[in-house]
Amino acid sequence: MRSRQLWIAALAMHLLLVLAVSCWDIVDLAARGRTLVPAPIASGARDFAHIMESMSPRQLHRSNLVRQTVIGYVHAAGIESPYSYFAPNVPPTLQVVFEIQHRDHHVSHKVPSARSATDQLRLSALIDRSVGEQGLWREVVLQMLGSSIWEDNPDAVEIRAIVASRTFPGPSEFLQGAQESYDFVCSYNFKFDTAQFENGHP
Amino acid sequence: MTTCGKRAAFFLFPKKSDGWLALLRVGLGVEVVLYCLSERSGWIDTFSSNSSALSARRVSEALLSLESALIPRVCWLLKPAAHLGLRESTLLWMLWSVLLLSGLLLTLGLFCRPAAVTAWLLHLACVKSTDVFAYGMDNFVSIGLFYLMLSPLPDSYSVESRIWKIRFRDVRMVGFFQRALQLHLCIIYFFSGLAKCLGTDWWNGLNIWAAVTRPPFNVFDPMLIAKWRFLLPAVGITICLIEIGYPIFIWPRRTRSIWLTSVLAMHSAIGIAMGMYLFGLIMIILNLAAFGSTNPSVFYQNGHVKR
Repeated sequence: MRSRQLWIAALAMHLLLVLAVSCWDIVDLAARGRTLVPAPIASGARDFAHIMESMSPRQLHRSNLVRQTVIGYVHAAGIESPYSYFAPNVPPTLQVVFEIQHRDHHVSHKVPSARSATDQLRLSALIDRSVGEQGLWREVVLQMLGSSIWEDNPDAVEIRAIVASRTFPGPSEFLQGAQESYDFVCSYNFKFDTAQFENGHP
Repeated sequence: MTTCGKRAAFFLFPKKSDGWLALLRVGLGVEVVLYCLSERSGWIDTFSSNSSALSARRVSEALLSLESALIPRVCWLLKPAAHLGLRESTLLWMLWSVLLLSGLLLTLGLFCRPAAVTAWLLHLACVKSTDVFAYGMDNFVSIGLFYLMLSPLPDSYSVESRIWKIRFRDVRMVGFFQRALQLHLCIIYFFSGLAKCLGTDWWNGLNIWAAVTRPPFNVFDPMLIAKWRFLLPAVGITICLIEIGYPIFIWPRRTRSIWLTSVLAMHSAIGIAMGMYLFGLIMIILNLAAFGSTNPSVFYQNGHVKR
């Protein structure tokens, strides 16, 4: 009987963590005004998000054993991510193009390529997750993608990463002949020998 | 023990056959094998530390170190093995081969427990070491392998049980792990449905259009989908209802088959229409294992506990 009680306690803790990750995601979406919820509720969600954030083990020091154990456990159990795929709305499609300036002054363009359909899904997920918002993470991801382009083009002197947002027409407009359009999001110039970054924004 | 405690214990430890566990084992074995085969062409490039300074593995493992030192990663496996003087590429192929072998053993039902633990550890290490490239499918495989590894193995359908005549013992623990998976799936679908219901474009079908016309999910010709555009709002609303209603309607006997069929149809459609075959497959496996093989509604029958 005692072992059953231990199993029940373990399951309760496990599901509590699943619920915490899922609730945090919903509250965060509402707090950032990305949902249908009215402004007063979104404002309340912001307060609640602050409370939840303060209770997160990530607030503890990196060396703290509780933090290490809880975060290690959620990753080991596969429960660290929320389940709001394509929600509340499908995010805009981002596309990355690399403009390569070669030593002989000619310029070519390449898009990050994948070896297989599964790799293409992974690449798309990475770009959607990381390139949409300004910050260090976007720079790291673009440099990571750019470094593989540079490996394929050892004569490149400079590579420029251009990020654009793709807008596809609605079904009715598409039937009337409307085409997809692209809006400039940002660009980064980098040289691998000096690891130098210059970024440009619209 | 209080009545409430007894009801909870009865609900969480039902007597169950291990048919669902056999289904989960075979399904996850196939999924692990397909994962290995789909990653084979880029395996060395993905995990090699000799590639560019900012390789996916280096970035992912650096980020993991910031999260927790306890998260399994490929370098844990490579570093001790490197002392044997083997080349990194050889070690990486050994890692791939052992993961593939564990998937095959799970599918066949041989050495189930060691194969389940190995598959969980190696798959997790590989996924975490390329976490920047992870997507939903990886998480669900990790979830499935985590439950499988802890469940009472080997199941009575495995080759191992047949050869060595291993008697199937703890039926209540088998039921407990199926309950855990069932409850987990209910949380997953409820929050997934709730998040969709809070978005404007699931109600008018525009999110369905956006999902199936964006690369790399644009498997079908948009013209074909646009001609059937009048169906898009109904499809969007149906998905929201299936997901948010899952924790309610999957339990009663009367609605279970309808909901399970709807969810399986939804994941099959996602797999085919969006090219997410492995994602569709893992969701079908988890749903069939949780609610497809046995009667889960004992607790709720006629509103009373059935004893």
